[in-house]
Amino acid sequence: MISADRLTKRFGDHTVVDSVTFEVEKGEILGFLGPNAAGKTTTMKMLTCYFPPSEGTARIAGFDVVAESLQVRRMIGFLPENVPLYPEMTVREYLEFAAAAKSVPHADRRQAVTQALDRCNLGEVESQLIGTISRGFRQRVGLGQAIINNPPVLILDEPTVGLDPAQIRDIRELIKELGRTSTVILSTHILPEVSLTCNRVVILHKGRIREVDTPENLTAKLQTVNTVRLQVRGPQEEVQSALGQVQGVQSVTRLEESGSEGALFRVQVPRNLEVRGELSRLIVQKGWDLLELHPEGISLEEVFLNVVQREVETNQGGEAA
Amino acid sequence: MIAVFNRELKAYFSSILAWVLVAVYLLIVGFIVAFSIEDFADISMAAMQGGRPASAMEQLVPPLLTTMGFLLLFFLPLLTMRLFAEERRSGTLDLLLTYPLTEAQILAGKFMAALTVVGMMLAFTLSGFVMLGRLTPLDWPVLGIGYLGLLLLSAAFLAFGMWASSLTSSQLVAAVVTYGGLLMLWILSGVDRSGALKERFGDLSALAHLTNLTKGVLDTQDLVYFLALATLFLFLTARVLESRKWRG
Ligand SMILES: Nc1ncnc2c1ncn2[C@@H]1O[C@H](COP(=O)(O)OP(=O)(O)OP(=O)(O)O)[C@@H](O)[C@H]1O
Ligand SMILES: [Mg+2]
Repeated sequence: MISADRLTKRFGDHTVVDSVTFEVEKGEILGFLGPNAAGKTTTMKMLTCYFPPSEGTARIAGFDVVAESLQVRRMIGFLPENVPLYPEMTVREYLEFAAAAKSVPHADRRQAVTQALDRCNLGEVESQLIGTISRGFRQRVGLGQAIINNPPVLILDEPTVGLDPAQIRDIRELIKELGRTSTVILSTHILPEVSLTCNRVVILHKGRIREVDTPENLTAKLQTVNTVRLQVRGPQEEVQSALGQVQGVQSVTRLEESGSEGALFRVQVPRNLEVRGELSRLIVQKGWDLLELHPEGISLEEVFLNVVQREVETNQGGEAA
Repeated sequence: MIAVFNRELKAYFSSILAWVLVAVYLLIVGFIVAFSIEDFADISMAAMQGGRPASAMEQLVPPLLTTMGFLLLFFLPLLTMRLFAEERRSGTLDLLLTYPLTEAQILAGKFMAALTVVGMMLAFTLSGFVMLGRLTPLDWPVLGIGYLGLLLLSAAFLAFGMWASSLTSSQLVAAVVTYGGLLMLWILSGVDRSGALKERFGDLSALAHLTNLTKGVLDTQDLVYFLALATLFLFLTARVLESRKWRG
C-alpha cells in the first residue's frame, strides 16, 4: 500500500532523512519511533506530498508522490504534528470545510461530517469554536479531518502527544479501529505507544532506519540478558549469595521494595540460558519459601535506548580509530 | 476552490475586521461624497453665472472615484495581510497543501474571497451616487466604467497584497510590504518627473490608469495594465507556494 524506496531529504548540506526504505502492507499499522530530529516528520511530509524527496521515490497505492501528487493526496488523511486548525471556525464548520476541500460529493458531506463527529467522539463540541476546545478535542478534530473522506491511508504525526492518560487510551483505541479499514503510519517518541498500537515498528535515528520489525521481535532481538524476578522468604544475605552461585548467573540484586513477605531479587543470566528450574530447586532444597518467580521481558524502552546507544558507541569507536 | 473561497469569506466576516473595514471605508467615502456635493454646488453656482452649466460627470465624479481608489490603498492591505501569513504562522498551510487541491485553486479561492469583500464594499458606496443622482443628472454607464476601474484596481492591489502575505508568517510584515509596494505604484508618475520610465515602459502608475477609467474612457491599455498586474502577482504567489518543493 505504501512503499518508500531510498527516500532521502536534504536541507542544504544537512541530510535529514537518509535513504529510508520500507513497505507498509494494506491494513497494517506502522510506527515510526525515534528521538527528536530523527526525521519522522520530514518523512511524513514527503509521503503526504508536502515537499518532494531530494532522492528516492515513494508510492502510495501505486501512485508516485511526486508525479501523481494529486491522486496520492486523494488517498491520504494527514494529521500534522501540533494539529494546526482554524480557531475561528466551529468544529462542524471545520469538518464541513475539510470534506469540501477533499472533494467529498456535496450530497454525502453531511453524512461524512456526522460520521467523523461520531467516530472521533466530537458530539459535545460540534458547535464550539475550535479556538476554545481542549487539547484532547483538538487532537480528535485533527483526526476527524484526516478521516473525513475515508482515505485508505492515514498518516498521523504524534497523534497522542500532550494528552492525558485516559485520552491517550481513547485515541489509541480509535487508531486501532481505524487500522481495521485503513493503512496507518504513526510517529511517536513514546515507546509503549508502538507496542500497544502498531504491528510493526521502524526505529529512525538521525535520518536512518536502525531497525524494522514487530515490537515483539525487536524486543527479542535486542535482548542481551534474561532477567528473572524472584520473591523468597528466607535469610536475605544467604539467599542472595546462594543464588549467585548458580551456574551461569551473572548478577543478583536485591530490590528496594522487598517487604515483610520476603525479599525480592533480580537475577540476570545470559540470553538463551534457562535457569528457572535450577533456581527453584535450590530454594526448595534449602528449605526457604519461593513466593514468586517470573521472567521479566525487556521493555521497548530499553530496546530503543540500546539501538541509540549502539550508534553512539560505534561513532565513538570510529572517531578513536 | 469553492471550499477555500467559502472558508475565507466566513473567516472575514466572523472576525470583526472585515465589518470594521467596510464600515470605516463607507464612513469616509460618505464624508467625501457629502463634501464634494457641497463643493459642486458652489462650482455650479459660479458656472451658471459664467453662462455654462457645470457637469457632475466631468467635475465631480472622476475626482471622487480617484479618491475612493486612493482610499482602497489603505484598506486592502488589511484584507490581504492575513491570507497566507496567518496560515503559515499557525501551520494550517502545511495541512492545506496536502489536501487534493492545486496551488492555483487555493490562491484563487482566497483571492476571490478578498475580491468579494471589496466588491461588497464598493457596492455599498453606490448608494452615495444614487443620492447624488437625485440632485444632478448622472451618466450611469460612465459611472459603471469608473467602478470597473476601481474593481480592477482592487484586483491588482489584492494580488500584490496576497503575494506579500505569502512571503512571510507575519501579518504585520505582509501589511508593511503591501503598503510600500502599493504607494510606490500609486506615485510612480509623480516621481518620474523626467519621464524616462514613462518613455520606456508606458505609464506604470496606477493613478494614471485609474484616472482614465474614472472619466469613462474604456481603453484596452488601462484594462491590460490592471489585469496584467493582478495576473503577475497571482502567478508569483503560486511560485512562492511551490517554492517549498525545490528549496532545501
Ligand atoms: N524546512 C526545514 N529546513 C531545514 N531543516 C529542517 C526543515 N525541516 C526539518 N528540518 C530539520 O530536520 C531534522 C529532522 O526534523 P523532523 O521534524 O523530521 O524530526 P522529527 O523526527 O519529526 O522530530 P520530533 O520528534 O522533534 O518531531 C531536524 O534537525 C530539523 O531541524
Ligand atoms: Mg516531528
